[in-house]
Amino acid sequence: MNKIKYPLIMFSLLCSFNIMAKIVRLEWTGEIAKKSTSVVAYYFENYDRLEVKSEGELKVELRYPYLSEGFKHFEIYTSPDKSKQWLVSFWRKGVHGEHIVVIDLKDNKVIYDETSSWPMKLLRDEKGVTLINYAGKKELETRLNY
Amino acid sequence: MVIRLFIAFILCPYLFATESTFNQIQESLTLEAPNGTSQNLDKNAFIRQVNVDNNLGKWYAEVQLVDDENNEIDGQVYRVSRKYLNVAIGVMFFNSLKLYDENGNDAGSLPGGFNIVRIGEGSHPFEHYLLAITDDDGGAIWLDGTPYDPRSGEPYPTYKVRKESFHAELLNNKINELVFLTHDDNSGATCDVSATGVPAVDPELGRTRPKPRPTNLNVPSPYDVVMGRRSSLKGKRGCESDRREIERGLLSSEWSGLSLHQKADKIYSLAKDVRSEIIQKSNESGQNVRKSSRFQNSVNPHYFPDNGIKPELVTCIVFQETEGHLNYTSHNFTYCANTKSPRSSAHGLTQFTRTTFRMMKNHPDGDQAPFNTTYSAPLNGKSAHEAHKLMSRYPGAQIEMAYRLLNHEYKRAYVSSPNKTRTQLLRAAVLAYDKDNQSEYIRNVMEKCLPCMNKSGNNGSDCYEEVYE
Repeated sequence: MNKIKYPLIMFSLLCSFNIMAKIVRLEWTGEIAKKSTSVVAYYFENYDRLEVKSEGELKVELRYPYLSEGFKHFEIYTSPDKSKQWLVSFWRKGVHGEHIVVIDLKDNKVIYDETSSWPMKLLRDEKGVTLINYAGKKELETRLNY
Repeated sequence: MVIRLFIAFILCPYLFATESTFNQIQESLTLEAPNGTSQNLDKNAFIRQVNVDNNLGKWYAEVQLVDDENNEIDGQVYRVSRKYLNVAIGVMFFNSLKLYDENGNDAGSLPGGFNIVRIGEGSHPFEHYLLAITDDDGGAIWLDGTPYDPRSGEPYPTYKVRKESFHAELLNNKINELVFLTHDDNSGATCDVSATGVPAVDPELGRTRPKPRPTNLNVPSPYDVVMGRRSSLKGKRGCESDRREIERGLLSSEWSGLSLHQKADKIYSLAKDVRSEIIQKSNESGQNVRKSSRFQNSVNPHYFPDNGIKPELVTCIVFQETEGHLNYTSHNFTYCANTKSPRSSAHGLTQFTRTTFRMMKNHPDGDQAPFNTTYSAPLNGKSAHEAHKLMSRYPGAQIEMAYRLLNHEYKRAYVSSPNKTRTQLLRAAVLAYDKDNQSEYIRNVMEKCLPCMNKSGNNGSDCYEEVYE
């Protein structure tokens, strides 16, 4: 009887915690400052989440509501001398806006986190990026150098 | 015989391999070289994808710089995010395109209005280009409009198109732009495309192009019509006012003669009617029932809390989103920027983008926008992409989408903070709809317009100016 019962209990537990609804959207693994680093974006219970782990330890966690601020994609930007690597993550914001969060993967720190009521502009060059967000139609420019 | 079979076996992969094809980039693009340096390309530069078959399932593509005759420029192979690349080289076709699967079997027709990206070319089983269909963000989608999920284990969705028909439609595309340029009304007149002055010989094919189908201007959605006019207006002085005029011209007779006051009242009346029908249909389905699981309530699109989203709030959102014009055919200010496509596909009374629309339809815990009312019924059975454009004809459907999103966000806010007051939950829903706490948005909607709309006896016309003062 127990042979039948245990799998059933485990299954109902899994369902009740909704573990089965975790859906991975995008993953990346690589080496940052000689440490194995992983980035994973996934959906779980109404939220899109992004985790940065270094040597398996959680360093940065982002979480935004799926429907109004869901995850779009992320990219890894490397400086020409390879001393810096940034995780640039793109999220939606409201029905027609955008949200960009930039994380320095070496220090595991968020170095840019801005929302915009319209899609943002991102101009990349060898020294870094220029990001332009909108408050209404007003443009606000931020420069990030490596 | 054995030798022939052996040779065929050796050559087979090469015969079926996808060859590089070159593309002109429509917007500036940054590529990353193997040594970590980046290369900025200006609009109109040429690139070609290499190692196509190996890279299709990967998040990046490998490209080379080429000239306009497909000759290598520096011999380097650069990496670029596939989505970013797709946005930069995608082309939107107005007319449908016949597509084939990898074996050359009929896969169906791609309706007009989708972005397509030429990835490569080949000759098996016929001369073809390999295409990907993409959304506004460069994400691949299947022919039925379903977004591609990289984690599904399915191959990256690609389709073959006969080179000949691709070139013919490319030419039709240019003709369509000219047709929209020369016709200002939407009276339903059938256009004589031969009168547009486009040469009858396709310069790429070197022979007479197939006769283009006549374009009936009644068929495209208002969204398609406004977009079709964009190439002649973008980046020019007066673009904004021309856009407004086109949008006004596309209003139905029921709306076109109305003053701003009358439109404001009509929007409020419509918001009340749409809510009544949503509730009625939800009750009829037996699913408008509060359950013990807050999470399950939040993802049940049929559950509308009595005290939740009301017509007054949705009306204020519409007033804020339509910037004093109150037209359901309106686009947004990115339309006039001199870019390949507008950065935002937001349109209508509630300014929903295609991406937000798609996210609602493809929510992992179930469709959050069941088209079960008479207002949204015309969108039923369409792909999210098509439905989003078609919605530009139906103001009631636009308002219904706002209800659906606000209702979802109101319930989600309750899941995370059950002790919040109703006003706090409404505020959270409005914040989720657009921008942040500091913006004028929340002030205009929650502190100026909503108290006005909540005053007994007030109609839309009494309050729409609150958000513009």
